[in-house]
Amino acid sequence: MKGIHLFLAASFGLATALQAHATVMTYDVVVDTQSVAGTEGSLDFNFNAGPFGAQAARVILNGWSSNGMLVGAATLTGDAAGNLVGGLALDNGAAYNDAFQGITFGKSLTFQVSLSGPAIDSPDRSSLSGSSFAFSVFGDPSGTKPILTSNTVDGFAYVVDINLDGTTTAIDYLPATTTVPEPTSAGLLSLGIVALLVIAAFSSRARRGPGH
Amino acid sequence: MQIRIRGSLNRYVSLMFSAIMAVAFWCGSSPEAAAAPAPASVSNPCPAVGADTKCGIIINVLQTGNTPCPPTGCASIGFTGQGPYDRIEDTLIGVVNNGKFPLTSIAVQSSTTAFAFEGDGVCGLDPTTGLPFVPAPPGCPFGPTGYEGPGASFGNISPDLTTGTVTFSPPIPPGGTAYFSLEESLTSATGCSSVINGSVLKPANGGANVVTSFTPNLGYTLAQAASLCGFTAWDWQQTVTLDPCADVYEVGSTTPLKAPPPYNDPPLKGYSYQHPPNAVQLPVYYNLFTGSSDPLSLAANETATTLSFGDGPSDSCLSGRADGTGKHLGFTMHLVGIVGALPGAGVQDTGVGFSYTTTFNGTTGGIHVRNSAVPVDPGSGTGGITVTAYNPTTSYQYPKGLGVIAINGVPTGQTTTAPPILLGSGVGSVTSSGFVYSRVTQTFNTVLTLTNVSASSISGPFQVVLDSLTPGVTALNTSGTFGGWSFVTVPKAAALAPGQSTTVTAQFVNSGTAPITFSPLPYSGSFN
Repeated sequence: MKGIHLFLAASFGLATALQAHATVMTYDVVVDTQSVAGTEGSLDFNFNAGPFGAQAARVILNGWSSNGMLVGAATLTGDAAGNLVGGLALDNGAAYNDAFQGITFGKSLTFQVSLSGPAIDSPDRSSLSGSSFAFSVFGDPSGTKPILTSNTVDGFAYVVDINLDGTTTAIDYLPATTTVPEPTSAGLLSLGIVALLVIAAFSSRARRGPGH
Repeated sequence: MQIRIRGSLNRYVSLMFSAIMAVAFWCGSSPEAAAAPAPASVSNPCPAVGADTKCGIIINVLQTGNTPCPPTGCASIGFTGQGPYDRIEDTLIGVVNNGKFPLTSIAVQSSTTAFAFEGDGVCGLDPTTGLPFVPAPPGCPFGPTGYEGPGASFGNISPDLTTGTVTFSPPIPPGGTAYFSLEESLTSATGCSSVINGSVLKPANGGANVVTSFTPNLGYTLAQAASLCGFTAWDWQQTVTLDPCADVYEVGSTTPLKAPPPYNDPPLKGYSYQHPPNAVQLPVYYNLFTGSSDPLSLAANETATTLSFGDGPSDSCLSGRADGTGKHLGFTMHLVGIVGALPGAGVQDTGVGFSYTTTFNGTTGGIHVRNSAVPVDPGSGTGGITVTAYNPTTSYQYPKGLGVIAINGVPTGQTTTAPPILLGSGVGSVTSSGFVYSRVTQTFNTVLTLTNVSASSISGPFQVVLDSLTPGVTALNTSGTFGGWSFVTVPKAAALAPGQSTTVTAQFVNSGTAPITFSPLPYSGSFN
């Protein structure tokens, strides 16, 4: 099972990385919620430009998977549309762009964060503010008690900044047991290549058959 | 203007004469002439002297052992609001030992010549009357200079007369106090601010032109006020904080000036539309290097008592809305002091002034002939001036700091702080991350990055003024206000090498729905 997960991730990383320094930057977020399984809590996602003018950008959350249960519909504010199951989009156009979702936690939750737009694929080098995405996990439905994060002051679990040069920087406040790989990195590109080579090797061996 | 003997030889002749006269006076006076000592207290270690009813400065020594200083430092300097005891420039200083051990000495450092004794110490002669101060400390004299208090003496005075050691014999016991005096108006936050505060008029809203003036209080001339505040002259510093039109160029540049980042008005090389360009050489509004025949010179815009300011910025790209909304230019205009002699002078921002926007879209005059002697024609467009902030008072304290650099011979590691200097667009650049909203603190947080974009190192500390912050938005983690706007202090950045960056998080509460915006004005030095 683990091997299949790696293979899929590597393939995705290969496909993404081949898109010439990222028209889309994608992060896989995996949160181990086993310690709070059964708790009725909430999730918050917000994506906003900075104060000095930022290029347009979009965050899409997709690939949602959890054995927990979403509670009700997400509360959307600003340039936010969709839902976690079908795909949630946050643009940085309004002052405050946010999705707030109730949840009864299961053992884990996973989703992908994809960042795109001119701020990523064609940075103008003259804007003075970037945009930032923040993900928070709360142990209460009203979103006041952060859990599973070392950032107890602000409650962020995971922050991704879009820098002025189009690169992104992720800050992970989740515990070490939770993994947040960055599939567009060179490492994942290498993994993808290795995976393809392994597949090719197996295929070749299969064609040659035993005894050769 | 105070009549003082200032020549170096004359000064020392005067010093010796005054000291001899003072000592002679005190030695010849009858014991009955000395009043009973006023009881010293921790809140006021000083007796009344001259114009002062108590200490002008109180040095609170917190640590007298060899253990590291606490985060608050080994000593604190407090200003009581008292001006010079001689009504001119000299300072009465009290010391309180709140440490655990006796205090035998403190070494102090000033940005001015605090140890340039002239004979008018607390036990010297009042320069106005030529007689001892009334009242004077009981029991004078206490030492050869006339500046000593009981048990105090001076030594290790530096050649530039800014640093020296005050020794106490007997030592000041824990909980005890002492006093002495030093030269110069070390408390003149009061003195300087008293001639500045409220002296710059708030400009009117609505017109196409913005006009103000600075007339020092108390009947001071500009030259007298400048001298009191440690300056050689006054000028304005206008900073363009918002220029959405991006159709203005510096001479020789093909990149349009636009803000943020802020840039000085006019820019260093002058605007390309000016013929000849008004290259100001210093980041000020009026040119100090040209004569009064130049309408943009400082000389052409000041009298002996008043410095004027006028501008009529406009651009055809602006909204022209009379209510001040829509596309607009933004400016912050401060009264500044010129520090030192030309051509190598510096600029000290007093923070007194205002911020304004204009939506005026006239085409005659205005930004395309900004700084022109010809005022903008109000009939050539619509819109006008909106004053968004007005700050009539200064936090500038001159001279900056009387620092305690050693206690009982142990260096404190503290030095006087530098005055605030605006880091122009060619020196400091401020960028930011996006805002992340915390449901826990209900705040919007952004990381500001200050980068040294010049070719030289910049000394800290560093502040970022949140100029023209969106109405209804409150900045939380601020260190105070400057020029009417909150500022944040960049932590742990003693200096920035060329290309080096440092960061500070800014935190806001937004009571409205408008985007949080502001123009970041980076400063080196301290506002407090």
